Amino acid sequence: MTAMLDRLGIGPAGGPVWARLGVAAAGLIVGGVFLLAAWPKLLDPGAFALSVFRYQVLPDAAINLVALILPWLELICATALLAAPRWRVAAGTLIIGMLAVFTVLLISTITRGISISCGCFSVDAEAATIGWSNVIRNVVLVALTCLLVWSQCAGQRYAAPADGIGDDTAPG
Amino acid sequence: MTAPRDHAAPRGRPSLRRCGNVTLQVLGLFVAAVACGVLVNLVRPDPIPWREDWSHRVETKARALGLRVADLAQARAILDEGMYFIFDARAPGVYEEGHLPGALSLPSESFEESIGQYIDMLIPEQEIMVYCSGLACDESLRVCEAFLAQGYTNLVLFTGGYEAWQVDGLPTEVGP
Repeated sequence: MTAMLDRLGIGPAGGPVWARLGVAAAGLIVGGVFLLAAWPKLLDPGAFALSVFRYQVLPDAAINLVALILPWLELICATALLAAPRWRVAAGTLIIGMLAVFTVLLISTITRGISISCGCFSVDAEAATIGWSNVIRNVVLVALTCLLVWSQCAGQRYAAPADGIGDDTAPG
Repeated sequence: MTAPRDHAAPRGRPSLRRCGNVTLQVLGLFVAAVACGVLVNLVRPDPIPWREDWSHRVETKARALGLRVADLAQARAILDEGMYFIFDARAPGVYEEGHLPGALSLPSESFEESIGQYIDMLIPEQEIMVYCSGLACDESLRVCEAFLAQGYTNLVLFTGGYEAWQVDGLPTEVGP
């Protein structure tokens, strides 16, 4: 089990197996959530642009560009998080950044009293309206991603001098 | 001659050094996302424009639906006339913080539940004006679409909304 976790670059090398499995589960949850979030936006960027517009924060010039690029950023980061250990810290860092921005937007939308759907996992304008549950979900995802990034760094820090596992030169 | 590795040294010292060049990787992921977004939009059969006139989207769509669109002066005239039902399509919380005089709360997300309390006063020919927060909102448009679906045809959409009204220093009401 430990050897497999080492090969996959999961968790701090030398850490207890249960903790490393916890980190793996966190990675699956965050990566899965971002894959699910990216898919409907990639299929229908026009509808996603409308979702972006409804937040009433971006200028006209930025709305469609965000609608085109953001889903790909979510997809690429999720893929890196799930399948590319060497890119996990960078992907995790970007995901934390995205979640921070999303959370600020959600809070701002709730406090401004704008009744719109989140546009997070569906681009349907009639989907459930934004609420504090969306904010709580994002905070949980940020915590899980922080745990992932920290454990990935710790894993590479512990393992690298001894056997190269998790080192920059190790195969992903 | 190489120095022996210090196996204990890395422990307890937080460092991102061994995580690879994170900044470069972050940039790489971002550039990849930009490239994918641009390239896929160039080749997909239903591309979206790089830039769109979102500010006038609501107005354009309202006109396409056959709705009358009112500017601030027309909205004032409608209010002075006193013949229209004025509906505020924003969330109840912001409605209570301030709304147009005489406006009734009809949040777009709960149209079906909220319309029940007014339905007895409305006939299909009733003149109705709807507004939301401003040019960048479309809750008023969604309420108008819901009214249209129920057979109401005498609809006016005040695109400037509460923002335009307030900026002009016109009187408002607070509370439910």
